[in-house]
Amino acid sequence: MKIRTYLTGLFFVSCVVVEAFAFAGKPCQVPDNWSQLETLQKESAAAIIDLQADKISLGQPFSFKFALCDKAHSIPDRVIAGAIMPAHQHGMNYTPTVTFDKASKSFEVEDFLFHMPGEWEITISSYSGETATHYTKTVTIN
Amino acid sequence: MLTFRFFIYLLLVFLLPNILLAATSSADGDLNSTKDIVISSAEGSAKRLLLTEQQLSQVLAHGPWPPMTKPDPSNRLSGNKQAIEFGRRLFFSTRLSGDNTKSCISCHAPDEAFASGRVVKKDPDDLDRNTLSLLNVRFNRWFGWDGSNDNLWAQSMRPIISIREMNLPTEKLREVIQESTFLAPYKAFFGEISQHSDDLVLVNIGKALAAFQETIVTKRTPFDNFVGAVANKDWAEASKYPESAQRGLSLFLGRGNCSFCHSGSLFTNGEFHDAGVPYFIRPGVVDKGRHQGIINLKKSPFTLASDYSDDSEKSGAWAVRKVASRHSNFGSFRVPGLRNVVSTAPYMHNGSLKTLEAVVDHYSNINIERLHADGEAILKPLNLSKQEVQDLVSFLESLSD
Repeated sequence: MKIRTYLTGLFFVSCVVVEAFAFAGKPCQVPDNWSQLETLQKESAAAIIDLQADKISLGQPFSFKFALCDKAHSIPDRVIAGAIMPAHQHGMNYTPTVTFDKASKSFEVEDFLFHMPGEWEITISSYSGETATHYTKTVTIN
Repeated sequence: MLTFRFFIYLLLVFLLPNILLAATSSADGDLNSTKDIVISSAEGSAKRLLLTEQQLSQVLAHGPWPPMTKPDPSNRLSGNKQAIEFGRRLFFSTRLSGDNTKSCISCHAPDEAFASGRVVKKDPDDLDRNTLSLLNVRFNRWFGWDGSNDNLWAQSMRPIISIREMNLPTEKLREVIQESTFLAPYKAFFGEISQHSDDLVLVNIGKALAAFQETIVTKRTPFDNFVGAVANKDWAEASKYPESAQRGLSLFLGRGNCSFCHSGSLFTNGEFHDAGVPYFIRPGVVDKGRHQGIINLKKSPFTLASDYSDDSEKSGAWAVRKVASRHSNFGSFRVPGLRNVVSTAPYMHNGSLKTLEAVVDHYSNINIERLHADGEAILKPLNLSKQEVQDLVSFLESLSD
C-alpha cells in the first residue's frame, strides 16, 4: 500500500516537472502592446498579436500583426485570419488579407472590420508543413 | 451545544455577506442602478432620468451629431460651392429623364425627407423597392438597399440610365448637356465634353449630383441634446428628455437588441441584415438583396477602385476589394439610418410597413421562420406591450430635427 502511494506521488511530481519543462522550453516574451493568443494545442508554439481592443472602432477597418513567439523564431508557411461573433452565429462581412513582413518577421493582418458591438472571437490558423495550429482571442467591442 | 454554536457562527460568517451582496445587487437591478435624479421643472412637474449608468454610457455611442465631415477624395467636386449649385440644378431638372418628365425629386422629394411617401407597388409602374431617403447619404459606405455601389457619384448615375426610372441613355445625356445651360458649368469643372467618353460624361454628372447630395445633412435633435447633456453630466438638462422616449431608448439599447444593427450616431452599422421581411417581389420572383448587390458591385466599372475615382490613393477601395460574398447575403438588405425616420415612411426594403408602430410591431412579433436557417440569432419575438410599442415610437420620434 505504501509503495502504491509512493509511486502515485512520484507520478504526479513527474507530471508537474515534465509540464514545467515543456513550458520552459517555449518561453514567450510578450512585447509591450502585444498579447498572447489562446490555443488548445498546448505543444505548439505560443503566438502573439499587437492588437489593442480599446483602439478598435465599431464599423471601421483595422489591422494588426501576428507572430509566433518561440526561441527559434519560426515562421509558418501560411497564416489565415478571421473572426466570428459566437452569440450571433456570424462572421465578418469582409475577408482580411494576411501578408508576411520580412523586416519584422511577423504577419500583417489587414482589413478586419467588426460591424456589431459585443464579443468577437478572432481566429488565426498557422500552417507549417502538414501541421496546423489554431489560435483564438476574444475581444469585446462597445 | 458547542456544535450548534459553531454551526450558527458559520452561518453568520458565510451567509451574512451573501445576503448583503444580494441586497445590493437587487438594488442595482439588471444593468446597474438608474440615475436616481428627480428634478422639478419651472412648471412644478417632476422630471426624472430613468436610464441605468450602463445605458447612459451606451447612449454616448450614438453621438455626437453632426459628425465631422471632410470632402470625398474620390470626387473632385466634393465641397465645391459652385459645383454644389450645379448639382442642385441637375437634381431638380427633368432634362435628365428620357421623356423630360422626371427628375431626381420625383422620387427623392425634399418635402418628403428626400424620399417617396408612396407605398411601393401601388401602381404597376412603381418600383419593387422602397425609395431610400437621401438624408445623411454622404456618410454611407454602401449605397442602395443592396449596396451595388460603394460611392455616391456612381449611385447617382444609376437612376438616370435605368429603363424603369429616368431612362436617359448615356449617349443622349451628352446631347442634353451640350444643348442646355448645363454645358458652361460642365466645361468649367470637367473640360471639353467632346473629349469625354459617354461613360465619363455620366460619371461627371454623377459627381456634380453627389456634391449637392452631400449637403443634405439633418440637424440636431432632442436626442442629440440628451446625448450632449449626458456627455457633460448635466443631469438636470438630461432629465428634460421625455420619459416615454427614455423608456423607448432603454428598450432600444436593451431587450430590443435594436442597437446591434442601428448603431453609432447614424443609427446604422451600414451593413446588411435579414430583418424577416419577405423578399418575394411576386410569385416566383425574388429580390436577392445583398447577394445580387455584391455581384453588381464586383462587375461595376465605377467603384472606388476604378480610374474614375479622383482619389489617387484609392483610399476607400479596400471595401470593394475585401467584401465577402456569403450565403447569408441572400435576401439581406442595408440597415437604414434612423435620423428623421418619422418622415421617411413607408418602411422596410419593400415599403410594406406604413407606420413606425407597424415596424415596431413587426420586430415585436417577428416570425423567426422567415429568417434564414443560418440567420443571426439576434431577432426574436419581444411581445412588447402597447405602452412599450408607444415608448419605442416616442424614442424614434425624438430622432427628428
